[in-house]
Amino acid sequence: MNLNFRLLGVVSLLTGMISLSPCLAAEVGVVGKGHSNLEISEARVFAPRKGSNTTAAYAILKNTSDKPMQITFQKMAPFKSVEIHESLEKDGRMAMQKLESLTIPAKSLLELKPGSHHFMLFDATASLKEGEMLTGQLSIDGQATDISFKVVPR
Amino acid sequence: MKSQPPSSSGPSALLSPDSKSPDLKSAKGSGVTSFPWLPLIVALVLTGGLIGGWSYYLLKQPSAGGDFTLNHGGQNWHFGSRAKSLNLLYVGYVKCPDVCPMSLSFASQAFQKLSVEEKSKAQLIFISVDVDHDTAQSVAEYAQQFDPSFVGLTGAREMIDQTIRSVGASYVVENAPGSYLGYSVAHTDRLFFLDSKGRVIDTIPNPRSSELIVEKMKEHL
Repeated sequence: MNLNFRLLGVVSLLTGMISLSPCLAAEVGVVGKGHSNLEISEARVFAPRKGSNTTAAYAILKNTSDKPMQITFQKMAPFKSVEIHESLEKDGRMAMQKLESLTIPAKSLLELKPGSHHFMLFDATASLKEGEMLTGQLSIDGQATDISFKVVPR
Repeated sequence: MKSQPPSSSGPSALLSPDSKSPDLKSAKGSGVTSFPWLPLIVALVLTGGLIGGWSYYLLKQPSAGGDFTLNHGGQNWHFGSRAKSLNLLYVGYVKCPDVCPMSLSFASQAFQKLSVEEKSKAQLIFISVDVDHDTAQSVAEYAQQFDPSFVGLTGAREMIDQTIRSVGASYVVENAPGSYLGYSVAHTDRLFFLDSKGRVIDTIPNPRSSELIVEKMKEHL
């Protein structure tokens, strides 16, 4: 009985996950050239503020493979330049350092979030509207992958 | 062997001269005069404490806020004449993409949760320490987008340094030759709560929620 219930639980959990996965797929930001081992959620760009020429993009990145994944950030229109940065506390102050790439260990999540890792975006050449979708080009282990990010207010 | 008796008798001879033993006995007996120096010590300790406390208070004042004049959109902005009952202060820079806008957003959400009356008694001051890149206009415009009441200030480097040092904040401009901007600014990530005299009455290090800001604001309003 116990085993049956457990089996039922596992089966229903798996069914749930499978049935949910299309919904997740619809939410995730992978567009066009996707990557089979990357799941991405909450991909968003904060609309730039007047007075500043920088802003940042965030997302939750999940490496579903059993190998570490290396990500570089190539570009995102309409920004002139993009970089990977990490905010971290140094000598009692918040500092930022540029990273060449991000490495997500096998079967792990990396959350890009305020006060931590983020994609830094410079000099938008066009004004951005809330709700607009922007395409960010990543390189995952050398493979070009397009991610769509939603422009959200602060 | 011969040297032992004098060494052992020496201290006792000093402690018990005939003239002193009666005094000790009478002191034990009376009780009141047992520590004639006690009131003096108490007085000294109290005076010392008062002087120490007073000096600490006087010395502490400059290191925990005070008055200042900076620039708001091209005009002098004098804290003493613009202060509200509660003044929040955040130190950062306009081109900060991550930590500053996050902290200012949480502060903005906190201001939205206040009543109209509470809000009228409070303001947030954002001081940019990036003198080389931020202008008085860009700082003022930047801060206002988080809340129309937010005041973005800049000024001469000496004035900025003096002002932020007085509350206990600091920054370091770091060269970043491999980055598009070419620099970044490491800065204190803390919301300072100043009273109407500019004195620091509370702080929130690494503000990461609007709830705590609201709670502390209501506590001090």
